[in-house]
Amino acid sequence: MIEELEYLEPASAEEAAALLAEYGDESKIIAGGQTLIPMLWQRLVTPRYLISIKGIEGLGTIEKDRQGSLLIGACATHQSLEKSPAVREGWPLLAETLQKVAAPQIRNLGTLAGDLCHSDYGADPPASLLVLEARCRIVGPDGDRWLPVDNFFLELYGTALAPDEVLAQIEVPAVPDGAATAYVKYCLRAMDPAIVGVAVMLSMKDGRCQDARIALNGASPVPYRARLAEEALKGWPLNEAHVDEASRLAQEQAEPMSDSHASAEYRSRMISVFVKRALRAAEERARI
Amino acid sequence: MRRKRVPISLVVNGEEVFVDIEPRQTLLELLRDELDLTGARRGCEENFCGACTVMLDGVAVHSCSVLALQAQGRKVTTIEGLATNGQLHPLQEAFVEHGALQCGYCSPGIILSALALLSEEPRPTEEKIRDSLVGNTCRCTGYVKIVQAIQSAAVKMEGGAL
Repeated sequence: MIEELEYLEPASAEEAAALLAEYGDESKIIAGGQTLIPMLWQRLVTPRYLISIKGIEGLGTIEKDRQGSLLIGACATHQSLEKSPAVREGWPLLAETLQKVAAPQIRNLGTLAGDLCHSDYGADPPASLLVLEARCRIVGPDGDRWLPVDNFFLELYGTALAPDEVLAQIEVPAVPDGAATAYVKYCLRAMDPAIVGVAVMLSMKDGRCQDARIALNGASPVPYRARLAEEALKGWPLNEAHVDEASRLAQEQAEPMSDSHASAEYRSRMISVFVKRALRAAEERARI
Repeated sequence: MRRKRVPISLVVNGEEVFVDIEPRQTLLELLRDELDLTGARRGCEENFCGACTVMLDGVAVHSCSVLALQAQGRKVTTIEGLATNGQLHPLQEAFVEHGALQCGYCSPGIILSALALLSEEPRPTEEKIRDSLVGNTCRCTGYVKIVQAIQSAAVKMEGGAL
């Protein structure tokens, strides 16, 4: 059994934030629970109060706004996003990434926002959201603030959320016209976290790279944009020398860790291999 | 001291159930300890092995990682709900015919994952079948016979046996 707890069901994100403010360390937000409940079993966290945001109206929605951005509510599950025709059509990178998260049972209940809040370096969605330049709407007791996802992940298992704040929504801007994307994941068993996960967005013109965005999961304690690698590609054809150079720069930026899935050294070597594969996959799609 | 319990209702294998639970109880504990439905197996309790898989509103979930409270008002299907009038479900029959089990510990979970898949996609490719079993660990047989059994059940079930 897990430790005794009370289950609270606030009616709004503001109310949830107020409960967090009141109960502090003794409370945790629960949405899908797919990371939290196993952590409760293992006593990694032992909150007395679980604050469920699942019943809050409007938090489960997935919709496009007038600017063509995708708005994802905090309770939208991996599965609902992966299957959404709007996501598949407009943000294929997101659909491709979410299909690689854990297992169907977990995707059926787990939420994208919960995935981000856990800030695990082997999670799949962060790199893709970095490449898509998503933003987070964060609700606290005194109102909302918007934060680029690039500033959301601060450390392993640590985010920019204050103890009394709730991640309420994720906004993903429209993908630039003609840009091709890919997410490539390396893990030993399909259900594992990424040893390395690489998300890429490429805009090519006349055989040259106009714009490149590259982000990595698994490579460091927090996901990151490989901006030096991106710069090294701009204006050049994606020949072997430039792709090698970009993958080397992405690898140099990493601070790989050792865990039960891979040693730091192995992880480091795999980074350049998988950055190359992701670039090639996106380049191939750019040609179509 | 008597612990605080809260009343919930849900539909389990087609029957409405009213039960008082502790907020900390998982759906797996509710099924096994309160309702005596032990087909959902207690395995890793870490949201990994899939022995506890049941269907919640028609999709597969790991019942060790769902609070019983989260199942309030929803429909749960366990392996006990598959046979009708003593007649095994086509998936169960196919597992017997193909010898798609050894110790049997993972079988209920695998059959429910397969049922969730076939409900959505009646004739899945082998790759789809394998993808649908990513969250179910079998350490006896390997997956060859399991995949064959699901393929053969899919053929039998086409035509509205679901």
